[in-house]
Amino acid sequence: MTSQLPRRVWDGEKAVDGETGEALREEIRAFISQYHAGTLSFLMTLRKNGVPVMRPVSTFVEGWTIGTISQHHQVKVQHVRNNPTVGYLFIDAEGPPYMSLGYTKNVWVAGTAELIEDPDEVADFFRRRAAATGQGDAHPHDQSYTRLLFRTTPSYLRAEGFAEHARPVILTSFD
Amino acid sequence: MGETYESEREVPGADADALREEIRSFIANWSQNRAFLMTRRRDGREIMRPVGSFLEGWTANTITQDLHLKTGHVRRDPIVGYLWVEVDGERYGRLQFPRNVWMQGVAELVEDPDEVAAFFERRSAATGRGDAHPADQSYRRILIRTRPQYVRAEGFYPGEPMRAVILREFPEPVPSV
Repeated sequence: MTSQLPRRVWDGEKAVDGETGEALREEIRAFISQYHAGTLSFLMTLRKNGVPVMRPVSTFVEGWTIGTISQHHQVKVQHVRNNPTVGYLFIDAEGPPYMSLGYTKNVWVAGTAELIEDPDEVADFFRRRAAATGQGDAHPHDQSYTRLLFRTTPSYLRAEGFAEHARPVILTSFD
Repeated sequence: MGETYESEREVPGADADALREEIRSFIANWSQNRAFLMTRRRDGREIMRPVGSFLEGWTANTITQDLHLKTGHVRRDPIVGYLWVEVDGERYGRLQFPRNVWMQGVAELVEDPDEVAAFFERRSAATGRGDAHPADQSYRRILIRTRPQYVRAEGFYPGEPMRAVILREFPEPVPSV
């Protein structure tokens, strides 16, 4: 009787080595940088009691710096004031699945957010985003609120769907 | 406040309660959504990855392996979160998001093999999916069972989909942490 050893599930799920990850770095950066062309982004902040909450947000990525516009009255502004720890989940809404459960490319980025309140800096951000994507201030006619910018520097990234099978790529440096 | 604020503020509690069952059945319908699980690493920083999920009432279940990092994460810190994102549904709002639900909860690890086997039987009966890898006995199956403390759903409020539905009370509540 011949029998084939079952392939260990783990072999298709363990993180790839550093060299393989580095080779995928630019592809991952390009994926999170495509301004809502099929990429969905969600922001995690920490509530006052320290537990996480997530909601959909817009993102505009420059280099490895992730920018999200908020409004002074939104609870996520208070969250970031209390604790600058944030996370972003990026999901490919339309790409082909890489595994049986139907998952498409996805990237988790953990980092620290800086709250930019200076109106000139925020206006500069809108100008850069408009130049790159065509999208400036989304609500130019509504001046009832103050625009704020979350500027997040990543410290840890996990990407699935870029390497073979379901093996994640882990990046921890972002120069 | 202006119209942007009005278009995004939390819906009233009674309206949120009216949407409770629709939200629960959305996250329970595994073929309609993709699930992502958030856990905390040893250094306290959060991390997320795609997972399978199976709902029983408001309890979210995910099978893990003893080899997986998330198993150790939950053992050290039971605070977890799920994000469910709809597949192939209608989109809403300027950014054209699909419906999405965030659930923050408290997880326990179920390691007893009989309990895990009973879970596979229940899931198999409900969805046709039992153990996903019956041929691979090189790892131990463990169940992550999460009870919610806070749910935030977007895309569900009729006519004003960007307004978040927030649920804070659930059957079988867990002690606050």
